[in-house]
Amino acid sequence: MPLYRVENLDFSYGEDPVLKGINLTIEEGDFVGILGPNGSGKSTLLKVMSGLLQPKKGRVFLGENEVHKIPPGERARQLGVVPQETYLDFPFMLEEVVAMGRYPHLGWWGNLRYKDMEIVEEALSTTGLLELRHRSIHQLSGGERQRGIIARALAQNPRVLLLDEPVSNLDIKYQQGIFELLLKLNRREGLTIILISHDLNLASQYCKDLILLDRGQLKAKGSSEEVLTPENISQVYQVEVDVEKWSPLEKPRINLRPPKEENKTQKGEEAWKIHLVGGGGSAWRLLKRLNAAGHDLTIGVVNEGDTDSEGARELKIPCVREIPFNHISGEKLDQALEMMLKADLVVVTEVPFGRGNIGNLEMALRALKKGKKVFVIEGENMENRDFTGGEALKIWEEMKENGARDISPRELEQILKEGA
Amino acid sequence: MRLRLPRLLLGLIVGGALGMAGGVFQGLLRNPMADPYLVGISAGAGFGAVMAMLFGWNFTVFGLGSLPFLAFAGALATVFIVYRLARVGGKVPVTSFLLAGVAIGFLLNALMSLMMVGMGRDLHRVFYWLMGTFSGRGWNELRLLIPYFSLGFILILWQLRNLNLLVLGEEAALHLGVNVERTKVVLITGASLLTASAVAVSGLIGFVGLIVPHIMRLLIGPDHRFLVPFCGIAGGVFLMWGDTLARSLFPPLEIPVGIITALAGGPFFLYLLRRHQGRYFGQGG
Repeated sequence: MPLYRVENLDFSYGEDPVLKGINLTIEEGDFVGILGPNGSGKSTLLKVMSGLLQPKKGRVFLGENEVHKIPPGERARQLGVVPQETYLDFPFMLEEVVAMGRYPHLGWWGNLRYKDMEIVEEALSTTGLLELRHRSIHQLSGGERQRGIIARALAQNPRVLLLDEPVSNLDIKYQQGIFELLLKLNRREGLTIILISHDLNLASQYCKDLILLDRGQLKAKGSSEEVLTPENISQVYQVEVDVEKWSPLEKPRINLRPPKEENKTQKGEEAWKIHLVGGGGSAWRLLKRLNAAGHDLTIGVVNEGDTDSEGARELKIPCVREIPFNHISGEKLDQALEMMLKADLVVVTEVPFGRGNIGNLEMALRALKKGKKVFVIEGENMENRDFTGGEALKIWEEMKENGARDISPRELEQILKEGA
Repeated sequence: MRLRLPRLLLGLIVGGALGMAGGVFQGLLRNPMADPYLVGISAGAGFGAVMAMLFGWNFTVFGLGSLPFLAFAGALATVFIVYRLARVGGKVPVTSFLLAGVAIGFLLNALMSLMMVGMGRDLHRVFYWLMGTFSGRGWNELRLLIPYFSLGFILILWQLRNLNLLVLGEEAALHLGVNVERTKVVLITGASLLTASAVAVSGLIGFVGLIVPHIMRLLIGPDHRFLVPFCGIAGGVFLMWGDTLARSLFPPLEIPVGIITALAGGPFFLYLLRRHQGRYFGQGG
C-alpha cells in the first residue's frame, strides 16, 4: 500500500480553485520535490497533505485513513512538518523546542522519560546541534534555527517528513547542509521526504521524484529527467531555459536564458524574421536592438571573430561565418541567400564593401529580384564605402531600380513597429 | 486575627487567579501586553456591577449577592460573546479574538459610563469597586470564590502542556498533535473563570495579571507548565502585600488595593514598552 494516495483532489480557499484534480501516490521511502511557480498551489497541497486543510473534493489518504480525519495526536506520530514560518517569540532553549517534538508521545503533563531524552539527543546530534542545545532559540542563526525545527520534527519519530521551502532563506552552505541531512535521513533511516523547493537545480540534484504544479494542476511527475524539460519549464514558469546534463551527478541542470524582452509572447503580431548583412561591427548595435525587441534574426556572411560575428554568437543568433581575409566562398554565399529567402526582410547595414565581401551585396540583389523586401541603411553613403572601384555602387543602383529602400536605423525600427 | 485571615487568603487567591489568568492570556494571544482584562472581561464585569448598583437590585443566587453575581455573569457572558464574534468557519484566530474583545470592551465601557452619569449618590461605591478593593470582604466571599477558582485552575492545568506548543503558532501546535481549537476553548474558559470569580469578589484590580507573568517569565523561563503556577503564587503574594499596604498606609483610611497595584504596575508597564520598542506588534494570528 502506498504511503500517500491523493485522489482527484480539489481545493479552494474561497471561490477560486487552488488545486484541481490532483492524483498522486507516494511510496514509503520516496524523496519527492514539489515544484511550481508562486501561486501554483504547492504550499496548499502540502497543507492538505499534512491534514491542516480539508479537501473540497476528492480524498487524501495517509496509509489507510484520510489524513484530515486522523486525530491530531495520532497524526503527529506519523507526520513531521516543517512549516515555512515558525513563531519563536518566547525564549525557549533549543533543547526545549526539540523536546516539543516528543509531545505527541507523552502524557497530559508532558513529562519526558529517559527514552524521550535519548531521542531528543539523537535528533540534536543528527542535525549537528548537540553543542548548541542549551542556547536560547533567539541566539541561533537562521540555518541553526531551521535545523532545530527539523530536529523537532525528527523527534516526533515520524514516517514522513513534510517541508515547505526548508532552505529558502539560507545561504548555499546551509542549503547544502540541509539537503545532505535530508538525503542521509532518507537513505539511512528510510524516512519518506516530501518538500517544496523553488530551486530547481537543488531539487533535481537531491530528489528522487519531482512533481511539477501549474496553476493548481499536476503538470508533470516522475524523475528529474522527465519533469525538468525545457518545454515543461517554459510552459509553467514562462521563461526560456537550457537544460544540460550535469556530469558529476548525471542530473539535469537548468540555466536561464537571457529574456527576449517584451514581444516574445506575441511573436505572431509584431516579431519579424530579419536577415542582416553586416560585417566589421556595422550590424552589432542594430542586432542588439532588434534582438531585444523580440525579432527573429539571422546574419551573414561575416568574418569569423569580428564584432558582428561574436555578437551573434553571444545572442545565440544564427550566423554564416567565413575565415577572415578570404573572399567569401560560394558555398557560404548560398547559405546566406537561403537565410535571406527565409526572412521577411533583408537589411544591409552600413558596411564598407571590398572585393572580399561584395558577394554579400550581390546576394541581397538576388533576394530582391526574387521578391524579398530589402532595406539598405544610409544607402546614399555607398559612394564613400565602395572600395571595389564602382562595382558596389552599380549593384546599389540596380537594387534601387528594383525597389530597395534607403533608410536610417530609426526609420527601420519605426517601420518594424508599425508593421508596414 | 479572625478578621485579617480571610482577607489575607482572599488576597492570595484573587492575586493567584489574576496572575495565572494573565500568564495564560499572554501565551494564548502570543502578546506580552495582554492581561486578563484585555478581552472584555473587565468591561463585562463592570457593566454587570454598575447595573446592579444603579437599579439597586438585591437578590441572591447560589449564595451570591446581586453585585458579585452580575459582575461574574457579565464577565463570562462578555467573553462568550467575544469568542462567538471572533469565530470564523469553526476557528477562532487569536487576532480576531483580541480585536473583538477590545471592541466589545469599548462598547461596554461606554454604556457603563452612560449609566454612571445617571447615578449620583452611588458613584462613590462604583468608584471603589472599579478600583478594586477587599474592604469588608471575608469568609463568605472566600467560600463563593473557591469552587470557581478550583474549576478554572483545573481546566488550565489540564492544557498547560499544550499552551507551550500554542505559543509556537497554531499551525506548529497542530503539527505537534495539539487539538488547537479545543485547547483554546478550555484555556479561555479556565482563565475567564479565574478572572470573573476574582472580579466578582474584589472588583477590577489592575496590573497584577500583567506584571506578574512578566517578572515570572524572567525568573522561571517560558515553560508554561511551571510559569503559570508560579504566576499564581507570585500574584497571590503580591496582592496580599498590596492589600496589607492598602490598609496600613493611611490608617484608618483604606485605599483601594487597585491603586497600589496600578502605582507599582504603571511605571513597570512603561519600562516594558521602552524595552521592547514595538517588537511584539504585527505578530498575531
